[in-house]
Amino acid sequence: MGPLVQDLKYGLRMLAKSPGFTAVAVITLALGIGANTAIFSVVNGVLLNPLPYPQPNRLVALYSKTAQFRRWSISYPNFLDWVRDNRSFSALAAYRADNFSLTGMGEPERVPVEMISASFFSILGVKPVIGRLFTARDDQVGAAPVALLAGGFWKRKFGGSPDILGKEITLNGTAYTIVGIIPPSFYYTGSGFHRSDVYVPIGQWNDPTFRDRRTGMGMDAVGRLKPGVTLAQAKSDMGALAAHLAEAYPTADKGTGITLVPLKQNVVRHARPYLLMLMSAVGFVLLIACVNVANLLLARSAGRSREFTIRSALGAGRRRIINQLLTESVLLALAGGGVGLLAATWGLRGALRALPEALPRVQEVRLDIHVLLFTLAASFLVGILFGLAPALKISSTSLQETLKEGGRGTSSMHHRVQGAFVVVEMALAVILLAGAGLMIRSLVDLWSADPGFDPHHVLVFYASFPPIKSIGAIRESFREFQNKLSALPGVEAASLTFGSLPTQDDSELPFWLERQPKPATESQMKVSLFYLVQPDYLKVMKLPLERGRFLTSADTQHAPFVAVIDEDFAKLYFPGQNPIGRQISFDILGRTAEIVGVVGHIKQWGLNEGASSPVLAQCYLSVSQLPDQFVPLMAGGLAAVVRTAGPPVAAVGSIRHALEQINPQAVMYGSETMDGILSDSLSAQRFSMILMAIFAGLALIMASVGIYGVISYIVEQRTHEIGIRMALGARREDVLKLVVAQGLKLALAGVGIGIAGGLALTHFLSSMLYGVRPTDPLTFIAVALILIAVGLLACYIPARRATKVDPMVALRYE
Amino acid sequence: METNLQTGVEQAGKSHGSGEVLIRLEGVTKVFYTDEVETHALAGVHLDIKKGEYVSISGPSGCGKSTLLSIIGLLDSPTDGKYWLDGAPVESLNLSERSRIRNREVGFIFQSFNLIGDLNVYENVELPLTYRGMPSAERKQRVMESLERVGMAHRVRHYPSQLSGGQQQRVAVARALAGDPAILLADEPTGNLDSKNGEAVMELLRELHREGATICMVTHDPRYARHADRTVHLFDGRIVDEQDHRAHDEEENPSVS
Repeated sequence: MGPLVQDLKYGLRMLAKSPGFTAVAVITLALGIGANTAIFSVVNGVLLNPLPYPQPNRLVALYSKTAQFRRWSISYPNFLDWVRDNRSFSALAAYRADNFSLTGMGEPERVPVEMISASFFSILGVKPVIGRLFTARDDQVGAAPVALLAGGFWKRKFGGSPDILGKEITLNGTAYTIVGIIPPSFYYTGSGFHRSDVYVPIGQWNDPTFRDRRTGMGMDAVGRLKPGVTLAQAKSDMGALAAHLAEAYPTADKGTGITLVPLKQNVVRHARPYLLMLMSAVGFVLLIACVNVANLLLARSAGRSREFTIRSALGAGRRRIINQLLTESVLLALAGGGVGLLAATWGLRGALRALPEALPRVQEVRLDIHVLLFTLAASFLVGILFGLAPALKISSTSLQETLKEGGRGTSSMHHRVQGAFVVVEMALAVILLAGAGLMIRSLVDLWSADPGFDPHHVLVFYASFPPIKSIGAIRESFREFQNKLSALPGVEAASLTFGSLPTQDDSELPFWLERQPKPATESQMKVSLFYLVQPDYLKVMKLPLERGRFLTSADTQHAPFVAVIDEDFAKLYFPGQNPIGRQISFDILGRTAEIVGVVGHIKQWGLNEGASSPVLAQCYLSVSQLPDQFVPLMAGGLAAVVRTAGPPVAAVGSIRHALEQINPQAVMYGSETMDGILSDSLSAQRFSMILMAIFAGLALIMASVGIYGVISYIVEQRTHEIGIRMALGARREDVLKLVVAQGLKLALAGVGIGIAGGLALTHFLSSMLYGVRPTDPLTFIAVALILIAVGLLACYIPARRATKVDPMVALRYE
Repeated sequence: METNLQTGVEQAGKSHGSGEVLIRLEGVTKVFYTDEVETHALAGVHLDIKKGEYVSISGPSGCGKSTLLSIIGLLDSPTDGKYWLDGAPVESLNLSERSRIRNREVGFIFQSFNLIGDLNVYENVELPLTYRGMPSAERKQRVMESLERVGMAHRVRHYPSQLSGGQQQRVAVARALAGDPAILLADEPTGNLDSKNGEAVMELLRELHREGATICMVTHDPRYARHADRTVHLFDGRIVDEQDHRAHDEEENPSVS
């Protein structure tokens, strides 16, 4: 312990003796370690930590699998068969997100509701705060309507009153008895699940479409594996079950399988590549910081060579000297780690607040013990990493050599090591900048990508009407609502819409073409996205009409059933033909439509939609021609799109008022501008791009400080040589050229290696890029030029200083 | 500048009545100012050095020898006084002009050789020529000639650290000669050498002088000072004595001319 304490004391004294050096080194390390701590805390919270449920490794997400979709909504009848016949799961639960109108408690409002199987909460190990969970008896058609309230909603609406149990709330016109309260801390990040205020049993829903084995209705499932059952065994078991269902119900289930994914993998799969990319990026930043500090230490060690010569002369062994230098560097790194931890706390808080939607499990991101241990370990490693080179260098310097150099330390070996460090950090900066450049170009391209419609001045909102007995009355209220919307001041056009909503919701319909026999099974049918809209949808979205006509007010329920398709539909199924007048049949709707027009393609799957998107064909059907049995479903929650002359949000108040006039119980909710929706759809890319740009900026600053520091140091060390050169007739410009050329050589070497490294590494970004190749020459050329320019600038200042060398003074130095 | 220098020769020649004078200093002073202290390094130095002459400057430490040499070599400028180099006034040239003239007209030999450690022998000798923008072929010829003259042509690829002190100083002499300067300025050229190597370097300088080189050498060693034609004694920044060794040598050894 003795020598360590001595080294610690001496190290602290040395750091205190050079506050400028210590401050620069600590700040540099704090930036590197801080960035790593911040990103690691996200990686830890999102990717590494287990899900916050008991035995989370046994939780599995389940989906239907079709030819087009690996993760497809499950039909409820199939789900019930899965529950009954599987041998792998101790329990399976279905869930489906919806919004219900809450009435009888002041202003009607729309509340997010999750329809769940009775076993949902027990699978996740959630116990009610008060009351009970659903039972199997609750979860069936005809059972008394019961509800569970989310803890937050309970406190907000009922002040957290414990005598809430047994009371009723009215949702969609039905009185539900409250049987329990779910803890406010509960959340579930599985796909298709939204943060809900109320939970109701899914089994009570008796909608015919929901009970149709051919339709999914946006329902997903989660299961808990029985003890001892592996995922592979479960997959095999469920595969056999799917085959059995396909035999039993060939029309609906032939060609349909079951996808099983570990729940955690399912939750984080989209975030994983972005987070791994960011972790690599901050790793590079830390390496650059290490190289910078190593260079600082090398420069400093040159000045301390006499001190170590004396120590050696007094009997200090090589190991002892290395230990002492490493103690100093680890002390520096720990100080950097401490400051970095603070910086990470602030940075992380800001970043998550700015873009909370960009990541799943964002609630679980915090600086926990794992993060602290990571920071501590990183600091130790970093201290050893950047302290090793100077320690080895100085400890290997011979006494004789040092004395010969007279403590001036002008060895060119020293310069070569520092030069190599600068090359390394320039190369790392090039790689980071190239990555950031590609991300920025992708985002710019995404921003400027044509979504296929004009999103500006378009408001999207949802509306629900209370249960109305007569189908005719519902249809009438749709017409009236559309008329009132269109007549509002500032509204240019409006359309109700159901089914798919660009970049928001997708709904598909299986179909077959005319003159072809109806396929025996649904899986053999073709699939198209469908948009159930009104005639003004064309005006609202400013869709280009390619051929024929769009839907008109004449397309009523009594007129021939018509459809408008998009150009991709036409290309796919009527290549080289005129689709106008051709017919397509929809199995679920039980109707055959005549194609009357062709419109442009909408990027339904987001601005980065490509040929690999699951379904590209799109068709438009008239709201007025929706078969009667589907009309109540639409009334329960439909969307509307409105084109306004001014800012879309300004129209929200008058729209709400118009809706109240039609039916005081109707509720408007979820209003958002289409621009906002598109912007949100890019939040993951934006989050990554912003962070990459920050890290690349840090790398650039550090690399330029690094090259500046090394060139300054070399100029200082070469003062004598510069004096000789000037005595021999070198002019100031010769000296300037000499110094700048030296820096430029390092910068060019770094840029060259960096470009090679970048070309090798950026292909890992392929899946995150849009409209730009990972080897995009423009990006690489721009990055190279930026680095060279920065390198030149960083060299210019010490080079200018070199030209001021007075040969007299420099030579007197001898 | 070349023209001005030529014109200067004529003017200086006319005004002083001698076309042989290469260096002429009149009333040169040099004062160093540090904080509140004024140090008078040179106080009214008058000195002529003729073309082909070998002059040594001697005196005790701090008498101003090196300062005088620096001013003669245009490394420094006088605080006051006049300085003609080959007839052209050079005391008030700007830095760039001084660099150019230094490069073409002056060859330096330093006590500690001042070779650049990262350059090999050839590159060290070539260095002053590169600042002239001389074509590579001509540079090569000059470098090799200079190295042959000092007997170091066989070590062109060696680095200074691979040479003995005497060899390093011979390379430094070759570097000074390569540019074919009007004058060689040597500042204690034997100061870092043992007596054997010191003698060898002095012999080299004497040989160069015999071949026609103008040399001005600072030394405090009387043995080496006697190698010169003339010794100028400095004390407290003034020339206090001059000795003409030629006359002395002729008296001692009439066969020496």
